[in-house]
Amino acid sequence: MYLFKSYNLKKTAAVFMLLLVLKTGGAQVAKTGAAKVPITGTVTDAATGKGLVGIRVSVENFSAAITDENGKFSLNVPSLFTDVMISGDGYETRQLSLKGKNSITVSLLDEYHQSFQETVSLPLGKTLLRNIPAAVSKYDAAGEWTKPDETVDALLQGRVAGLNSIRRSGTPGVGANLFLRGYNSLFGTNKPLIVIDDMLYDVNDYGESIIANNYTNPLALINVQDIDNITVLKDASSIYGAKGANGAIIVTTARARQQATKIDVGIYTGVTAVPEKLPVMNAGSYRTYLGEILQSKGLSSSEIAAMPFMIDDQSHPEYYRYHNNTDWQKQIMKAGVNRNLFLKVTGGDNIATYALSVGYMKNEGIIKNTDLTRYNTRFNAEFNFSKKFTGSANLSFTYNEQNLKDQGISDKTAPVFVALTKAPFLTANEVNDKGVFSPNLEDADILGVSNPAVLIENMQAFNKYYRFFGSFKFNYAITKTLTASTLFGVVYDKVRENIFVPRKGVSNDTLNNAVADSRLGSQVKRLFSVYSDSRIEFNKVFNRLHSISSRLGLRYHHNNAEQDFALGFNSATDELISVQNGVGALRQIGGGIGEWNWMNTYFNLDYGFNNRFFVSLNAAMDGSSRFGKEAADGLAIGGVKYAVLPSLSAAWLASSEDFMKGSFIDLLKFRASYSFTGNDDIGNYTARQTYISQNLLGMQGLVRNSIPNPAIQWETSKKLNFGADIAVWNERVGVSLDVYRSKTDNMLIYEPMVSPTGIDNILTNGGSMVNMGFDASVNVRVVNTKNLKWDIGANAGKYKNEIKTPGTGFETEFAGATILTRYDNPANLFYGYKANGVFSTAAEAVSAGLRKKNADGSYSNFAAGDIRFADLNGDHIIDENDRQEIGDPNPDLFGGFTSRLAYKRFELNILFTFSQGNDVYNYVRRRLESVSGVENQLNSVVNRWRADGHVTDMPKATYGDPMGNSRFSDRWIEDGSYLRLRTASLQYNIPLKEGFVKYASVYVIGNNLLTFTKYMGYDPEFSANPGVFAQGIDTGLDPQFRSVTLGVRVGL
Amino acid sequence: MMRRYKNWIICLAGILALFFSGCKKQTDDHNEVTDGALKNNLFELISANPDLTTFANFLKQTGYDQVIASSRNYTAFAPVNSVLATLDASISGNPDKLKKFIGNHLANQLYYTATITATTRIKMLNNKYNNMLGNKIGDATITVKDKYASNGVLQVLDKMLPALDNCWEFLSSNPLAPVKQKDFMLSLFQNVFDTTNAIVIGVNPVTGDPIYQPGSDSVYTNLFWNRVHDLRDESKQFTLFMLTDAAWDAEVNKYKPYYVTGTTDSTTKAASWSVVKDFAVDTVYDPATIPDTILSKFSTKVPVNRPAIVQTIKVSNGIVYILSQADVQPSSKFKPYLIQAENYAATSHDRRSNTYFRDRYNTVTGKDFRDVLVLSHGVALFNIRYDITEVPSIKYKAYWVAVNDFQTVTHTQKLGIGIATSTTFGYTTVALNNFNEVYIGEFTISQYKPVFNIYLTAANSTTASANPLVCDYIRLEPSF
Repeated sequence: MYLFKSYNLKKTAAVFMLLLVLKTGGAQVAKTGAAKVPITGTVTDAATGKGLVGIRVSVENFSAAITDENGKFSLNVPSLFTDVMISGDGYETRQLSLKGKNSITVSLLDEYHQSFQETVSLPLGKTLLRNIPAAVSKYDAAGEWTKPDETVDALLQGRVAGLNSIRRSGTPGVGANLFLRGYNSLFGTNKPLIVIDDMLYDVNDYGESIIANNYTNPLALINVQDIDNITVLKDASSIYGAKGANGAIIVTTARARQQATKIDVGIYTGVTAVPEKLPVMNAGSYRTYLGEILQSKGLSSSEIAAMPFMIDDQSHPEYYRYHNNTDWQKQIMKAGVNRNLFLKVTGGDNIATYALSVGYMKNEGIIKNTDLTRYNTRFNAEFNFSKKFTGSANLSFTYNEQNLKDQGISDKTAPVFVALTKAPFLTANEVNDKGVFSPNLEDADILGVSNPAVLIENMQAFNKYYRFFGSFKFNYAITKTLTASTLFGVVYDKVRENIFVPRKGVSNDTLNNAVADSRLGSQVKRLFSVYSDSRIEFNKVFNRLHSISSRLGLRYHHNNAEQDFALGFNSATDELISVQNGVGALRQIGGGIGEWNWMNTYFNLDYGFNNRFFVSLNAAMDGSSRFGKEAADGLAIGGVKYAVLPSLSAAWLASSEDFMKGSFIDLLKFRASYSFTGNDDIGNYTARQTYISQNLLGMQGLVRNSIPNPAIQWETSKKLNFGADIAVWNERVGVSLDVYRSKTDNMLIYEPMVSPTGIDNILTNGGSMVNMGFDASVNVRVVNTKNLKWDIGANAGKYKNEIKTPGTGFETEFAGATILTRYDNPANLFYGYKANGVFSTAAEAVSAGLRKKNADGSYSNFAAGDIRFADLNGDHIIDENDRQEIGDPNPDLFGGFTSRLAYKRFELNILFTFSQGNDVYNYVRRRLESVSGVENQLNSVVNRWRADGHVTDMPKATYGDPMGNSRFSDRWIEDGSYLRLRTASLQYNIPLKEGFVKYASVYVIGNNLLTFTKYMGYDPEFSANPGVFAQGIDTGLDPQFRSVTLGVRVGL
Repeated sequence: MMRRYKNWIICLAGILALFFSGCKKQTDDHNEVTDGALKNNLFELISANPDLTTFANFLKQTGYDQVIASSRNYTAFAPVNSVLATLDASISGNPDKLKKFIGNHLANQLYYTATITATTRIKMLNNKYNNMLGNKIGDATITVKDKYASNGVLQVLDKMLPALDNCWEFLSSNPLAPVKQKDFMLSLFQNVFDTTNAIVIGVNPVTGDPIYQPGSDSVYTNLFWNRVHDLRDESKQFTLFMLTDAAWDAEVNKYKPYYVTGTTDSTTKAASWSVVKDFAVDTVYDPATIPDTILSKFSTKVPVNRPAIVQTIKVSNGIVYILSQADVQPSSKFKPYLIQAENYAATSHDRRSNTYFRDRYNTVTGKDFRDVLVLSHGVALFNIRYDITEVPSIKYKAYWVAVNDFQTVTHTQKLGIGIATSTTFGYTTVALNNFNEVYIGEFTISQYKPVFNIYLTAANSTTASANPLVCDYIRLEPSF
């Protein structure tokens, strides 16, 4: 274990800094000549009970001592009501209040123990968690040698109470949508602000991908192996002004902790497993079904019998073409291979330290011919130009290449959907009348369904994207208490995408003026931004009681984004794949330009009284090119509106008070905060008059795009938070609880316009929404012996979302679902019909007497074999008035369980994630059980209603579904709760003799190994887009999959 | 150290194991086939029914068991054992006949009693049809209805569905069919040019037309199928009248005078065709409800004298009546000829530039009409030819409508019967602006003419005002 003392670099660094502080502190003591009160004590190892040698015990800026071989120490303290700091290599750091005692006994846990005594990175610097009045969670990522394939957003899943990280799909690198404490906006972003190394990391999407339902995740450009730690700031994020409404995720990347050169090499390789297939009908069941559908379409029995797939005569020339039993899902999925190489070098001297890393990763998706390749480099350095003048540089460049496929709702080109619905009696390859297969792939079939194998082999969809993200920072210590610093950074980001859909093997698409056989496209998205953050900082402790630190600063952010795309159609042959080969008349060219500025003036004041009371005031005044000049709120300076957003937070560390002296409670802290934050994701030009190009009969012109709203402003989020942190059992048990209520005012809503304007609606700040909830986390060191250490942890979050916009609300359509947003209800309720089974007999249907109105005004009666929809208003007509709330995609509870079991040289880390009580709309199952078309269906469709008296829950097969049996109803709403063994890693630290190789570990890492769910789709976790209205809707994105990775890490 | 936790670990493992085993996937439940009936195919369903063992055995004998076990959809109309016990041994003992018989109880696709609310002709696997309505099919009643299996539906019948001959099969092979009419109808076979299945072996270098392999460019077909009804068509339903030999002779003899030809044979043949072509209609007339007169395809009134019905034979695609008498009236059989003058076959000279097709309004009838006018053609005895076909040897009265509104003087023109210069009729003066039908006169055709020419002949003059030809139509009315 000794070999791995540097494992947790952060702690070692903290100790280092402390030593420095102590040195100078000792000098001070002599000068001030304050009262000296001697204390004695013993520091023991909590695991063995033996005294610890070499542990530093100190009072900040006053005195320090080191324990002897029995763990004993004696120290002079200013008073018996002060705090002492205890820290040592390989052990946790602890700040202890003497509370009048002159003798203390401390047993320290090891450095892996999670406690409230850790140092966390906050927007303006590092602080001990115990002294922070805000609601903050920390995730120590320095050990992410066991998760080489994760992205930052997915990494946080199940780790932070209140942060709901929902992975978008199973596409490599696609990451997760993050929702911190519910929703704060309906039409603006709900993403927490991401800050990497003190600089905003842009994660917005500048234009939809031309690859269907693909998301280019900017966080895929961050190698998690580069990350040192992550802080999630849940409230009091006013320091980020109009960007802080969704909280902030503060990421610190690796840097050198020692001047000695250290080289870390990680090599991983893994395999992924194809997910369990959806049980679609086999060729026989499908043919029976198809016969019924064609009969209900009105084809005569002779016409059906003449269909080539119905002719069972082996001498028929097309017999072999139509008599197969193909598992199409197998055709498009395959187990993939993951590779990951990582090299990190840290070191330096007393002038400069550096951390340099390079990485290569190639992850294959479970859909054939999809993968993500990443090349990443990072250079972080810290300079001491002089004692007073220091600086740092954080530079990174990452280049990603992805081979992709369409996914989700893309009936003709998404391999997963096509494979599920493709007739199983067909095959991928052409076959002649003798049954001999050709290497050539089949064309689209007579039912109009594409060949999934062509989508895999011949369709091209790939992107290349890179980002340069770099900053320099300079600090100058003007006096001991006053520091000035400035940071300047640049982001250059580019995404290139190309698609080609061949004509052969893919069913045609219909444009408004032509039929598209082959489809070609190219897109470039570009972002350039300049960022600066300059501040003056004041730090002082008065009379050992009052600590004050204050900052005044200015941030400036200039952004320039551009998107350009070209789509072409019908290239002359399938060999001509680039967009210029499309037919000229059908070419579509478009894009968008976005330019905006943000200026944020901020002020911060942290006050601490005797390490007991903490108050923090943060305030920001934001100007943005996005705000309207006539915004209702804010401060007008020179005709421009500035958002003024303050927050105040306070904490009381009750356990440091004397009356807690005899208590079994080691730490008890109460927190409260109230903050105003803003959301500036209101569109770059909503306040301005905009025009868009319009093609009319071949003439290109400009038309009005919108009506300007000069009163548009930021959304204001008011957050109230109460929290408590408790630690007992020698801090082996730590519990953190938070309750919160956040209210978004001035929330963006689309207000309908009167028709003469020619514009459907206008964005206004007319909405309001409330989130209430709690977060809780608990960490327990269950077993703590010399050889066996077992930590378990759990965290959970719950939120209740309520719309407070007055009025009747509105409905949103997504993937055939109707989502209701109405006063006093959650923002995104599934709103549809309730199905009460299937009419078994004609008599039953007649006695129910239900009917529906057709488009031509006539009525059709629901008959035997149709769904019995609930008739809410009792008028016997099933129409939109019979809809009701049928589901809520928001979970009752979400979070994770962790376990870390270390036995001798083995370490087993386990993370379970769960989501409980969330409803899911299974769009894919709706398509696969619609019983209304020629597409293949789930095997459950074999149970479709057949004849009078058949009791079943699957309606009869009717072409085109004239009665709307597959309409959006609770038939498609499922319980999306799940418990998943998200990651499990087993690590063995190889014993080595001191030599060239300093340490080595081997890893076996499993991802998504087990999932317990009642959900009937591939996987209950998906997020089609970051919007509130897309949550809980399974549009058939590529599913999550299991993977097992073997890795080795070597330290030189 | 580990020993201390051994029990814990065992417990934990046990709990986990329970957890896994207790978790049957919802997806599996959802996709399981819930109804036992849907786990069996149609043949298994039939085999499992103790009342249908005979039928099941027949299915096996005929190989249909394999067919209805396949994944296409079928409806089986299965007669119960007691009914099949009475099946004629000549059928059950003959594999071909049995296959045909059993095939008549199986249909592609699903037919439920509840959904067949209008009489539906269901094609069976032997390519014959049965009529189904509700719980009736053919003469049988469905006693146990709508029993579904994975690939079809079973209807249990109280009667068999015999695989009857169709009209044509009856006519050509059944001894009940009267010989003379049958012989005549079977004599109507001939080769007809048809390129559907022709094999092209070359191209005529001069005309560019394809050259067909001899024998492949024609089909041997029956005139009756093409001109009247294809009595083999199982998808339709026909009523066929057949005359007993005596009645046939009487009827043919009755019509012989109208088909005077050079030879007796051809007269008989023409008269026979004339008789038989009205004897099949594509409607089924039930013996109980057959009306006393039926209108044939050629609008001839065919009287049905019920006492004269000697025998009624049900066939798979309709019904055949054998009659001892059929008194079809010549006045109904022979229709007047209405010759639209503008639809001529030929002219004596190329005078297209002098020919006008005029749209006019008839002030007498109040209707629009189109006529032909040939003006200033400069040819004496200029004439226009019309062809009429299958003209029986009877007397006709001739009429025309000719409107002279294009000049102020009258002119003359005449009808040429047989030849342009025929003297059957003299020149008739065409009055000015006369929209009435004008009676020209009577003429007799002494011999049956498969094709006969009528001419409209201009005056024997080259003067423009004297020799125009104008006519709306010519009507030839049979006169008995």
